[in-house]
Amino acid sequence: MKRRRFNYLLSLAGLSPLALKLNKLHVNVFEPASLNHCRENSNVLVLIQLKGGNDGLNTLIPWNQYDLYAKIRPTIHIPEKALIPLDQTLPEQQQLGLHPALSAMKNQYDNGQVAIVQSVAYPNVDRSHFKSTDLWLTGGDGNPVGKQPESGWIGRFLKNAYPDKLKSSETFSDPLAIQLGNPNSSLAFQIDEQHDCSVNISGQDPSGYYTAIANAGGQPPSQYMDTFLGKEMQYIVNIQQTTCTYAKRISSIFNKGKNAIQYPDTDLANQLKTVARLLNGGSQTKVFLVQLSDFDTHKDQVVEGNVLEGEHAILLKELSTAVAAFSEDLKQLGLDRKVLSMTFSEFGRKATENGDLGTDHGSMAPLFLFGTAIQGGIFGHNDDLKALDENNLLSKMQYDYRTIYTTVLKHWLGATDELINAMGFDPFLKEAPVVFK
Amino acid sequence: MNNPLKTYRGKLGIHRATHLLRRTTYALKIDLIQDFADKTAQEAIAHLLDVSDFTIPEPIDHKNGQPFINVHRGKPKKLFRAGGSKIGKQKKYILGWWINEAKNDTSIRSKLSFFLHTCFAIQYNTENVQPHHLFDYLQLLSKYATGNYKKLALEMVVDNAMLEFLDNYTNSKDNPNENFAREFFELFTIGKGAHKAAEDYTTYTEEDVRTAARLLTGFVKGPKNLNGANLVSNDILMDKPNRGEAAIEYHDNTNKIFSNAFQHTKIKGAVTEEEMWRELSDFVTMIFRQQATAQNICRKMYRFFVHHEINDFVETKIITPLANILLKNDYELKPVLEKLLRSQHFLGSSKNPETIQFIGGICKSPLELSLQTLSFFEVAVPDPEKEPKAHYVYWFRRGLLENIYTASMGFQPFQPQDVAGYPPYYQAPSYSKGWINSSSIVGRYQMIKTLLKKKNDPEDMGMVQLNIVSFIKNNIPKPSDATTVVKTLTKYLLPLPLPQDRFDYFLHSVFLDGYTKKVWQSEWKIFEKTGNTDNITPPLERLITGIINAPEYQVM
Repeated sequence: MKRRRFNYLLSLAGLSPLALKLNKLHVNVFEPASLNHCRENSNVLVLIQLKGGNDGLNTLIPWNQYDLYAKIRPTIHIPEKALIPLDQTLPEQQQLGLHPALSAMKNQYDNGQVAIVQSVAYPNVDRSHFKSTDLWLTGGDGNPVGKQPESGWIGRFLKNAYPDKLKSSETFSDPLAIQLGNPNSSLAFQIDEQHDCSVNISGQDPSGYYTAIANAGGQPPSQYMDTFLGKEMQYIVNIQQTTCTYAKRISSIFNKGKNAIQYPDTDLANQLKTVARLLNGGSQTKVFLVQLSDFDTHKDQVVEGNVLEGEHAILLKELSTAVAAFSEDLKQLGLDRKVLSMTFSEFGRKATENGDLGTDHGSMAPLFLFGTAIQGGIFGHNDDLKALDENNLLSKMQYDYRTIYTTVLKHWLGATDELINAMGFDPFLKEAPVVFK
Repeated sequence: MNNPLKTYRGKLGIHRATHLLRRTTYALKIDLIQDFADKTAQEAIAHLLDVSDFTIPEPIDHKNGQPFINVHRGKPKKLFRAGGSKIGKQKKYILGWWINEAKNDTSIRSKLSFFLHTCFAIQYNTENVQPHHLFDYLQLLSKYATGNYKKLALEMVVDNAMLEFLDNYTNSKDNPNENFAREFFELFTIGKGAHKAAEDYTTYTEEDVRTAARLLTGFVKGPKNLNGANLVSNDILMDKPNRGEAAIEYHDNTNKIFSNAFQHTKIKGAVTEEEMWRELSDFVTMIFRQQATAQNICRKMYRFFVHHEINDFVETKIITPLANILLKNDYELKPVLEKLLRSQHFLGSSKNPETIQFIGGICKSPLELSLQTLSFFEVAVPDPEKEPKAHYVYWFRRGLLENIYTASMGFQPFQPQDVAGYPPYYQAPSYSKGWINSSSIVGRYQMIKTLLKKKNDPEDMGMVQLNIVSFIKNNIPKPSDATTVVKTLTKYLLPLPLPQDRFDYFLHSVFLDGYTKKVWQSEWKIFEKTGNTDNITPPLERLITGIINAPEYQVM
């Protein structure tokens, strides 16, 4: 509909198709999108950031190589009899065991609501937390050549797909993205220095959010000098105005919304609980980012003498119980078909343990997608533990994480190939795994 | 073109004085500003770099009025682990002590200590970081505030809090753990260059990380006993025994050979504990010999004190010359700080304050926002020695730390979100703008409300309250004149002279709320006669709320 209207306006303005073609070539994320880049739908994406680098190999254990696994992880391997057999229908060579703290996830898997993508990473994994996190948030890789994107991948998508919704209006009053669980604004949503299409409500009580911000900053200056001072002030005033507008809406829909079930009392569960309640209250926000921290398990990943306990078990339990509660809540609220959740983490960990009951920074790890709209099951095959590189890292990446981003953008969020192209993800279109029904 | 590092000549004046003080201290007091305004850059910076001592040498136990740090020393871990929550609170009281000192510190010590904390970040809340470990860490930062960065880097290897935070005490020859070695390169010293080939970050390689991890094996928490008798005495480290030590049985004694990035330096593996210090010292020397290390430290310093944007001009005209000074002085910070802070680049090139290009170019951190407000308005807090409970428990812990910082600004001092420290100091593209987002802005706006709130119960933040009437009475030359009130306050509190329409907004809309200046004058006269503050309080509170929550005040 919109596309047709656009062409009509173009011809009114007397522009030739050639101009359109040229224009097409010049489509760039920082221009207001001049083409309809998105098939709008009401789908919602919830990103679950596992901060610190999740140990994939103790999350999802390649059962076919259990002995080798136990051998390279002499003190931290999960005992065979404690493993949860994930899926008996998988061929023997592809059998997988789940960490026992993930029992809640097993139920969801059996209901076809979990897709697990194996060995996800990018070429040349950077083993710095900060750099690697930045890459996942922007869509870059560790290749020494080639231009790396600087803006957040979600920010790039939203700015191009919803240019008319970047600011609150009478017809669309929600922020396009909401961040919870970390007071620092995520790079994922940043488009450029001055622009941020997201709202961060970490630590705020959503029901009183508006009261707290309304009119607090006073009247802004009438003009800004072209100086550093002027720019900083303008940024602050923008934040204040955005916050104020969105806070009113967020407080109102939060107070209108409800949850249908009880959640565990954990940090992640509380974040997801807020997301469900906002959606139930009528939020049209497209992307939520929540966070679970402390996956950097260099030590005390397991408790000495009791590998079923320790930091990692606590985290996996928090993850699986929170996601299970969230899914059940969404189902009872009738929202399950419009919500897709996806985990990500900056890297996996070394295949071998480090001797301090922990693991050092590694390369690839499995990525999890949750929802009723997806094609549940396993994507990819088991890691080959014999194929470690000279530094004991898993060495055979099966999925570039951007192929999964691309799938989600295209099949879930409705991005056209053109938009995917503009985001720099076109090389991944062909390889994108089909994870939706 | 003139050398931008040339010293600014002439007296500073009010705007340069406040600019300098906001950037280099947490204290902003009228008499100090006036004093600085009359100084030359050279004199003012000499004052700042003459670092003061702590007025109270260590925190006090509010239960018995005694210092408590040394009580923990030398006790087996089990004993002081027993009361976990007590340990957590004591660590907060140590922060309370440090922050109160910072608020009153008119030298650069506290600001520089915090800068060094952003370079060598730990999280104070880490389990097993004991109260005395936190205290020793803060002492270390303060000892090196204007001291030698290279020595500090070396001391950090055996700082107990750091050994715990990055687990290096578990790094041993049989189980090397790369955590500390990686951050030593990336965060503490040379920084990461371009990822130019697999495993190669230009300034160091993954192989260097592994080699460094082996070299850094065998440093354990300590001392083994209270008087440090086991410590090998040497001239490399502080003479105080409050640090970890070398343990040869865990040390990888093979030779270490580094990559091309370090000119293939070979360091002989130590076979005794004494030699371990030599080996460590060789390693540190190797890293600090690199120009890239000096450049990286100068960039950090520039971002912290001046501005986040480092373009080609800044890189070649500012960073490189400063890095050369740093190298020439074997990493003494003082000569670099002097050069940078006195420079026309930082202070502006003429007497016109409009030319101070960096004024207002940084968003204030929660520490700057809160402490500079408290010190400027002379907000009285309970005396830490005479009323320790009110000071440490009611004011600092429950008030400032848990209510103002943690609950509303999403910030905890000395508890950054991750190993890299606080994103506003390193995260492009937003840098210091990162302090302000749709969540933290609410907390920033609430601060002044919380401080102004009338309090009747000592448990309510130790009754800490900003008394605006007495402040105005004591500090404004002619308080009955509304224009003078607004002029004086905005002159000290806001970065630059206000444009007329903005000044009128503060005067007429905010302060006078549409009434005439005469109305204010007569209200003030009534107050002078009767002492009744009822009528003058609302407009004054409106005015300072308006100023503090204005975007001009949120930046520095």
